[in-house]
Amino acid sequence: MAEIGRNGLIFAVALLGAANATLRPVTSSIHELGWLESAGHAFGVNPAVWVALILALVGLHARDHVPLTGRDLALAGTALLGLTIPSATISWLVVAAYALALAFDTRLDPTQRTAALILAVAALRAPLISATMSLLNEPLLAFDAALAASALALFMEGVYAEGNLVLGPDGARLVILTSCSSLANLSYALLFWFAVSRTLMPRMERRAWLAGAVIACALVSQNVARLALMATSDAGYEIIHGPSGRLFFELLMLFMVTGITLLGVRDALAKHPRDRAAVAARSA
Amino acid sequence: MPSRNTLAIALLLLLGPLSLAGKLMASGNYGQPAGASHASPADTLLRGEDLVRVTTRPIIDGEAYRLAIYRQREPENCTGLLYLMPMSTNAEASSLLSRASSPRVVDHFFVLGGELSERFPAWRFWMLSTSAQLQRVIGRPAPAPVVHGVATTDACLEARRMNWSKLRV
Repeated sequence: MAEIGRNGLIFAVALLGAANATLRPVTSSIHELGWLESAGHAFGVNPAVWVALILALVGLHARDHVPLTGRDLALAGTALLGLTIPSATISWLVVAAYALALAFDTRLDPTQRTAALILAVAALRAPLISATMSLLNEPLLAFDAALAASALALFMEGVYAEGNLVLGPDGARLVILTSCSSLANLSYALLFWFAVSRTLMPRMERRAWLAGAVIACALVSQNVARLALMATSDAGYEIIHGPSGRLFFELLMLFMVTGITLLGVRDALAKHPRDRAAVAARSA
Repeated sequence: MPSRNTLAIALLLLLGPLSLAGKLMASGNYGQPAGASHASPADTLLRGEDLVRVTTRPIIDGEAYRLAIYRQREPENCTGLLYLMPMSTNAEASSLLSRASSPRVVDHFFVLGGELSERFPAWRFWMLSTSAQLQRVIGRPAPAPVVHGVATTDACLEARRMNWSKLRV
């Protein structure tokens, strides 16, 4: 029988965990849109989540053969048992717990521990954002509405926010729903930034943290601009909320987040040749 | 005694497919879709208060949130309207209630599990939703909770005095 070893078992459990957590949105997306269109929508899972999961799995995959210990088996068995619970949220939590256990396991090499940390962050994002958007829905959407109304008030008179509504003299101009909130988009952008930065850098430098802060500010500004444009008029709403407007802002976000993340990493690596050498050694 | 390697492979081969099959077979109906039925319990309850449903209409573009509009069966003394809006996801539609339409809303509140509150009961709703999901996971189907937003256009309807405890879903 083939020897699976510790590294093989860790990779297999992480892969199964990711598959369990994403299976439902993927199958729903394929069922609703068909294979081709679903592929165009990243199979119902945000591309940032795919990127983080792939980077984590690549980082966890190590070829060295290390014999299994009882602790490895117990940890993997517990995680696999947890994954049999038919709930995507519980699967994310199980993956997060397993990944955190790996991230603090000093027997693993630093690359694997970093990958485990990325997996934990990706796994915790979904349940945490879901709970936050449920519990703090009103203040979070009100914050977006207040910013959008303030931006619009620069060009139009009598615009103000009330709750998650942007109102004008002639009544409601825009209702901001959960899917349009800055926080949901921000969580994906920061997940991408963290996964890429942490994969490329042995340790997070100040410039990389700065890149994260810039991404957060830029993303909220972009979302507020989008909301304000939607509130300008019915025609503005149709254009921005329609397929072309949505695609434009999604691409803008993608380029912006990718660009700023890579700038932060590049600057940090250029500043520290030792780190650059470490990355080169790891990718060899 | 099987080796650790054999045990690991057995665990993966047994629990891996089992976990994926469980997810595939899990019922797709987690939570009531937003704006689904206007809950006949509400119709029954309000009929008991001498109110009849006049119509339903979407409150925003699309079918995400529908407002059911009621008035008194014999509206000679009170011509006010009562708006009822089920919210099954979160508080995102709660602001809309106070601005439902003309005539102006004079009072609005929320009902969850028969209890009235001035603001959307986010914490209690989240606890009940999570509890319902966990119960479903352990094979004890429980109805997903729904917060009913209630607004009235005339104080004569005395909506707060109605027997909302019957609206337990």
